[in-house]
Amino acid sequence: MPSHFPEPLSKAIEEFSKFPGIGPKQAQRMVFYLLGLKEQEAKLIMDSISSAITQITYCPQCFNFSSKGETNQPQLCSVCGDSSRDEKIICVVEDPRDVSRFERIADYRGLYHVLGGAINNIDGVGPDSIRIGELLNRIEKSPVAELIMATNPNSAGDYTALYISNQLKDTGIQITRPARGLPMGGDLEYADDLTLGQAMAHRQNIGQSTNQNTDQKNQEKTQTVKENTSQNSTDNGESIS
Amino acid sequence: MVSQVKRYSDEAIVLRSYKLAEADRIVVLLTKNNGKVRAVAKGVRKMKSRFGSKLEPFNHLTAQIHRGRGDLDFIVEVESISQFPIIRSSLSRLDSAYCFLEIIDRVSLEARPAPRLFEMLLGALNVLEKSDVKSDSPILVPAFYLKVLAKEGFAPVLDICVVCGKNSQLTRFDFEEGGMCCLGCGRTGVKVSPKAHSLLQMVLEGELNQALSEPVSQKVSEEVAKLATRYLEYRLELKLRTN
Ligand SMILES: [Zn+2]
Ligand SMILES: [Zn+2]
Repeated sequence: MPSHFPEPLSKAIEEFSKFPGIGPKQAQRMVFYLLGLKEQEAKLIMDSISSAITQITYCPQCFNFSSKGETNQPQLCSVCGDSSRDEKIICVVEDPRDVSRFERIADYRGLYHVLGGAINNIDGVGPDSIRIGELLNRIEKSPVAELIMATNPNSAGDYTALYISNQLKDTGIQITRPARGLPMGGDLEYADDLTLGQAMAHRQNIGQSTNQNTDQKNQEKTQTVKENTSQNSTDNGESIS
Repeated sequence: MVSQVKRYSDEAIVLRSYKLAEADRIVVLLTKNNGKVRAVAKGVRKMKSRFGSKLEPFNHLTAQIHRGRGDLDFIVEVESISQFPIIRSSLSRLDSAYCFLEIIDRVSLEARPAPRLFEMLLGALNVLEKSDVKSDSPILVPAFYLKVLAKEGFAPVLDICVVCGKNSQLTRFDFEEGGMCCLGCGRTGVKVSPKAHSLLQMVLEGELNQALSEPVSQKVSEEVAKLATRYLEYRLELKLRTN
């Protein structure tokens, strides 16, 4: 785009428009906003960006975001570094942002493992392209009782969950997947077959499911990942009445 | 030719999808009557999207599609026909299903109707969706590759020597010539066991069911898979990712 702005200005606009979802118009507004700030305020923003980029790294244990220590070495993240967490449970997620999502519901006391994506062979993302090997090594070094496969509820996330549970099938580790139910606020009529089918297969008793937990809303209901479980669903739960 | 109406409805199978800005996805569909279509599904990544899981890979559906001005269309509405729950619950079936999707994605063209390709893909997914052991046979993917090759006009010659026409002592498969060679002619190419040779023939002669029921050792099924994959890659000049 030809620009009548001075070089440094048009360069800044060009860089800002590289943000996902930001067009040239919005980039211009952001840069003009920065130019309009007092020098102190602008410096605060610049410093925060620069220290985020230079100091943030990945946790060497779980690959969540963490910061570099004094020797510039990656440190354990705030979750792995917290000795009160239950080391016997690992929640496996695709993205560091998923960790903060689970941390916000506050109830989960185990650790995490961030895969950095999901297997998608068609797009060239094989099992070796994400941190499955790291997960298996980690479990071998410090055994766990349960793995919660919290990859995204889509085909790639499902495949990844199945793949990992298959790798661990003779280890005796309990492998679960967060239940998928019907979204609140929706009409049954609009639920798709897969969601409806899975919601029926993993139905639970009314009134009993909340007993162990004081905060129903934050409860993590998980189902065991097993091949071919969803066909015969009568084993799961009794009648409501 | 593809008609110029603004909105059309077609039966389709989802080949793949990739993220677009925010919560949107571009969904690649193989339609029954409109060839391969790339269409935007707005808001599909949101948990409350009306599309739900209907647009996940290998789903069979009917879609209302709005023709865009550029090369992207827009998905207006989706009615699910099958989401293949049996395939989705088994890792080996999923692996096969993804192999089908990849090769179909690679050989199909946009705006070029390919109803035969559509039927082949749907047929293969339906075989895989049956819960018997036979439907999960390691022969299924190579069989599908051979059928795709045949459909593209590259069916290998299996019953006679591709060089001299003799029909005995066919022991090697020559990639360049595109078929089996007899002992006298075949110096290049790969050795093919008699069992693998007969399986390949069954598949191409339309005896897929019989081929799937044959007791096959792992060695032979690997041989068939390797041969079909290599020949497909050679003929169509591509490198498969899912195999
Ligand atoms: Zn960590
Ligand atoms: Zn010959």
